Amino acid sequence: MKRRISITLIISIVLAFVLSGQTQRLTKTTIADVLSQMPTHRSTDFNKLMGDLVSTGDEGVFMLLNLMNAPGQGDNSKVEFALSGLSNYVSAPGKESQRENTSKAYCKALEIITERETKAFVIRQLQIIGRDECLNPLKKYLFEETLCDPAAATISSISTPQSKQILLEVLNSANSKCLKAIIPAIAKLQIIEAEPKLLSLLGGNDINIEKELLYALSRCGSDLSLNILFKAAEKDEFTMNMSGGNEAYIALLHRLLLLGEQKKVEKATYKLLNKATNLNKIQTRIAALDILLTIKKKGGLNLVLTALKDPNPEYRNAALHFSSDFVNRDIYEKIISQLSHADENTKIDIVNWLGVQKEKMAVIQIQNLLNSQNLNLSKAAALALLKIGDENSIPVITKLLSSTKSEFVALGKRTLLSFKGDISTELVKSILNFSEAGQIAAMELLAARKSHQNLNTVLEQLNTTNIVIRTAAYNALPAMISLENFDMLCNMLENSNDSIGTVKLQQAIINAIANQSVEDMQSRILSKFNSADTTKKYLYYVVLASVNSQNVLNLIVDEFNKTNGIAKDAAFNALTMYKDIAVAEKLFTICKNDASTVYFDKAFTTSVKMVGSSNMKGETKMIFLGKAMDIAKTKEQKIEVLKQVEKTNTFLALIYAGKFIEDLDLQQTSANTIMNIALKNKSYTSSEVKKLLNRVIEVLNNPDADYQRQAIKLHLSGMPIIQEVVETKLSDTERKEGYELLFDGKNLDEWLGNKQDYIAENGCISVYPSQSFGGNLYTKKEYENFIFRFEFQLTPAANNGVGIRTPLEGDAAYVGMEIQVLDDDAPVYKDLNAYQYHGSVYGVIPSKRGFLKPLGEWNFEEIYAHGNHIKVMLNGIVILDGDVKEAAKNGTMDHNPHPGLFNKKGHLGFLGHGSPVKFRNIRIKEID
Amino acid sequence: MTIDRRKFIKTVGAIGALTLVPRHVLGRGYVAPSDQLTKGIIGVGGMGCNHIPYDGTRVVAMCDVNKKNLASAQKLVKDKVSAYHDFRDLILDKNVDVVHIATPPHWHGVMAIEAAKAGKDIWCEKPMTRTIGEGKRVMEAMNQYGRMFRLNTWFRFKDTFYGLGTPVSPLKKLVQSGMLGWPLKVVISKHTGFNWKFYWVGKEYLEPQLIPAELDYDMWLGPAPYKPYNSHRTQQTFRGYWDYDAGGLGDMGQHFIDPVQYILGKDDTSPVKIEVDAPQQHPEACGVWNSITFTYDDGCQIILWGEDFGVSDTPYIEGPKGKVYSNFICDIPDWQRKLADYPEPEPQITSFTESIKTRQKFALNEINGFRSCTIVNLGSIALRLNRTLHFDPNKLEFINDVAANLLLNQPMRQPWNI
Repeated sequence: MKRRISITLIISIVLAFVLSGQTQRLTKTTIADVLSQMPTHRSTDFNKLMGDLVSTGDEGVFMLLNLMNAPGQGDNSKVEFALSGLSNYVSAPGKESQRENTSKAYCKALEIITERETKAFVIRQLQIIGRDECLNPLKKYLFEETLCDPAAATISSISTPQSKQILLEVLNSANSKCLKAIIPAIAKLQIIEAEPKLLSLLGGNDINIEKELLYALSRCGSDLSLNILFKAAEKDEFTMNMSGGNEAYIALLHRLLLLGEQKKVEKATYKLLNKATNLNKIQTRIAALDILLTIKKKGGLNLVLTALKDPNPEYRNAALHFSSDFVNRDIYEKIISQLSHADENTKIDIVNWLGVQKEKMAVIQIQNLLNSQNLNLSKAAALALLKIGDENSIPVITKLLSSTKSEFVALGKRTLLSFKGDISTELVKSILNFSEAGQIAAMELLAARKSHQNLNTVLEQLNTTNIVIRTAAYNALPAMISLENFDMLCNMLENSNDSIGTVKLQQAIINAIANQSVEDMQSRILSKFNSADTTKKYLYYVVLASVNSQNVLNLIVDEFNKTNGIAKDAAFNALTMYKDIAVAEKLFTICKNDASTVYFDKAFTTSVKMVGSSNMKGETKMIFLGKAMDIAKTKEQKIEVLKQVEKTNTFLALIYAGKFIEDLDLQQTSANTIMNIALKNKSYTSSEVKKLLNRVIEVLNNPDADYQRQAIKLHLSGMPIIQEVVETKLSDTERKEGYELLFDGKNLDEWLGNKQDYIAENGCISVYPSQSFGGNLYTKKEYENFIFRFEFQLTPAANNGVGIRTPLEGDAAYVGMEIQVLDDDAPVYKDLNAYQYHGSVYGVIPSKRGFLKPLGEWNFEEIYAHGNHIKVMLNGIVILDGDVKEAAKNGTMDHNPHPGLFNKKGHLGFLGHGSPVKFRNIRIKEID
Repeated sequence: MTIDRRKFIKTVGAIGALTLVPRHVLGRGYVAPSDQLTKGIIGVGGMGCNHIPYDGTRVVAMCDVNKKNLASAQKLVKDKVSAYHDFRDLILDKNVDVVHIATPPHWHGVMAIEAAKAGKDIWCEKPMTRTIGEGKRVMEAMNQYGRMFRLNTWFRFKDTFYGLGTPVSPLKKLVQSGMLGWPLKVVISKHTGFNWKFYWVGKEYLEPQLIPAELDYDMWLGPAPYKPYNSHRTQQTFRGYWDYDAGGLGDMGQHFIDPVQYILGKDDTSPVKIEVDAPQQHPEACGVWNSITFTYDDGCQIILWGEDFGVSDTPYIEGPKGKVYSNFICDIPDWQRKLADYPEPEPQITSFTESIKTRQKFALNEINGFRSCTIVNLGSIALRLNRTLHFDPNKLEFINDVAANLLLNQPMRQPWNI
């Protein structure tokens, strides 16, 4: 009977998995489908595909595993994604039967697979989804040296009585090569029946096996092992060692305690404590104390009190820490009573512990220790009182401010800063009793809590002759005032002879009105400013600068221009404090007008930083920063410019920074800028970017450079490969049709104009903006009627144009005609008019938007111009076809005059210099 | 007469090469002044070398399984140091007071526990441990042997906190004041000033390579499963493999998340729900992700957005009564003035030598460090399983998910155990 069943089983397996051609084809399709979509990016796809995979049953698993290559023989990642995905999917709660089927399929597959890494892979999958069904199939791997590791780990993960049974069985028969895998599995499952065998295996030569055995005994053992593990610990001199004997002994004591062997454990632990004490192994003493206190709990008070007399702080603190588990009122009292006679260090330990426990019972005793002469003890007491948080402690802590020692005052101040509740009342009440340092601290604390109601206390201190106290009072002032103090403060500012207070008074005035409307602020200050004595007006500049108003800004600039000496300095200072970006231009003008001015450095840095952190468009910032770079005087100033360039995070900025990569002063900053911008912008993939990044890899030099190089390499490896130099020549057809090349791929001999920004490279005419800030590139020849063909490549938000029938001077869009070239998909251009789209006759005839290729790819364009008839074809699509005369008969769309619209002939030109663009394969055919 | 230690050292130093006196020589119960503490560094590649100049201690020993790393790191130190191949020899070195662990994360748990057994204090790199189970054991060992532990990230107590442009303390104060309301949602993303370093992705296919002569690959792997050698595993790029770390999440996770845990006051608990939106992860190689959302039982959320995911004008912290944006911009009118009524956050112990001397826990220790590392590990488990998980923060187990619970512990290759 038995025999027949197994034959039937075999037949059914064969039928199901080998001969069923139809299902096999279906499975193949499913597998191919799954593999082509690995890895999935969304959980809906994941769940669907894994559901499909589950439905293929054993067959799918076999097919996938069949695709696994041995190490080095090919990429398995898709199959690994599919199989681990399957395991994860069926391991989810509620998929029990699918899990079991998959697990069984893996087990069957193990029989067929021969390659070690693939088998190990499958066994690791079972580690997640295997249960009892895979125990027998896994058993034999417990005898295979190369696979017993993962097999034993998987069996112990299953953690059922059957898995224990198998491990026990194998322990008695395994060869020594696999013992090392089986013993820890037994330890993990704490198989008590293994103890005799484990004990009998002890005493071999393999130190690793000895370590495993001791470890396993500590997890499975009974009191039978106690003595043997004690000897192992003794051999290790009660500390850590390669064999782990000491640790094993301690772990066994814990285990026996859990098993209820209190008496035996207590006796053994006292012995351990003595041994460890004699050998001065502090960590083992602590471990023994831990066990004893776990046993004795409250009954262990004497152990704790004895520990508190120990010279070793580790031991004292451990005792206190362990007693937290059972401490009660009585024990607190006993421990607190030690505070009266213990040595200073022990007092510190006890106070620290009471703080951690937030124990209110000891507040008075701790308060008494606060004003000790021992700073460390006072520190501990202050922190403990803070943690306990009783408001009655505030007066005691405040007393620390009476100390003449700065450390104690600092301690009092730091503690009060964090103290919950009203600290101000006590500070004000006692301020006259404080030491000088204490009075200063008190005013700092009042300021920190912005204690307006105690302003008078601070004002009184302004009258003292002690300059240190007076300074502190001025420092506290700005945080403590409100609107009602405005007049008083202005009065003080104008009439005080106390120059140490000027800046703080100004700050206080600014704060007093800070929450008012701009108009209100302006009128209040202007009225003070206007009525102030001429010699005092300058005191208000900086206050004025806190008002964000163009009038006020102009006023300060006027004052700067017409005054001298202190007043001029004050006006300049006020300008640097002005918050709005409008001031940047004013400061830059100061720099530009006079490079030798004493104000240059500060004006330069302030304006550059302001522009960098303003919310202007990146491209706009770049124009300013480029100009700033031109007038920068020092290396530091140039570095500052580059830092702000980086913040614009634009393509322009990346290319601009690239210009300084060979400048040794700026090389590292330039490299960082290029790297940071490139890594943040995956769309910047042009060959210049690659070239620059490769150069950055070479020059980077800082502690993180290795990481950074790694990041750049990964970034580069993810970039699309873009076509390299194409040969520039006419096709046969074009030559026959009469086209001529306007650019041979190498030089700009056929062109006139801005050859600084436009350069010939790699078969292209490339525009690198901001080298010269100006000028277009024009053909030498003039053309009347023609077909003009070219390819172009844009960068984000790039703006250029093709001028036709244009003179060499003036804005070609008006003095000739401009066919727009624009990345009109860029978000900044979302509100364009149709007559500004790419391909439009700018301002005159709109074009159809939406036919540009993705950024970075080459576009092909043809411009047909015959009399008034203009036609533009982009990538094979006609995007504009119109008559300029017709279009302009009722005025142009942009309502601007276009005097050049009907020029008979003129130059062709590339218009623009603000953004990087490339052109290539430029050819023209003149027509009648 | 008491000898002035500093003077003593100066004199000795002036005569000849400075010999550091380790604590054990000074006798029982004697705690050396901070400038006499010594350290040994395990793992002296890029990260470990950063530990050499860390304050308060002097290097006396180094260890690496790569002979080249070991040789070049020794040159960075003027005085002679002991050089070890097996980290256990460094741990057993009586001259070493503090053991610094700067290896890949799959070693952190084993090494920290071994060091604790030897009675050393520990300064450990982030992420604290590769699994939640290992983290639990580290906590137990520190407690059992009375050790001090500091995790090597620091934003909860010093330095500008990435895109916030401010140290954490004022953020903590603002949240603690309740002015933003409750519960809070925190978004960690490039839009709020954080970079998840997605360049730490592994390769899904690695050709086996010859193991270089200078490297003990078996010891490098240690408790991690045996896989054929490829240099991409063992260089800095190790971060891209689940066997050793968790990609950018592993690298930056504790730097970014630990301060949030502190700000939210969640140092003693963990999220109860973890949701992921991510491409399927390879079983070996860590990949990228869109978002990982951690929810606490009171409704507070920590949301991680990868790379370009999410919306740009997002607040960093959002509560029912107010928002905080990157650069510490808060939308509550006159918030600075209102905030002045509240106390500053409690002072923390921010010097590890002080912690070692007083035996009081360091600001970022094995307990709160375990919790913030658990967030990282919860995230990586949810990513790997590609599903929503529910977690019990007290039992430290997933609810009703056997497979997820199996990932709480990673089986260790022999002879390593914890």
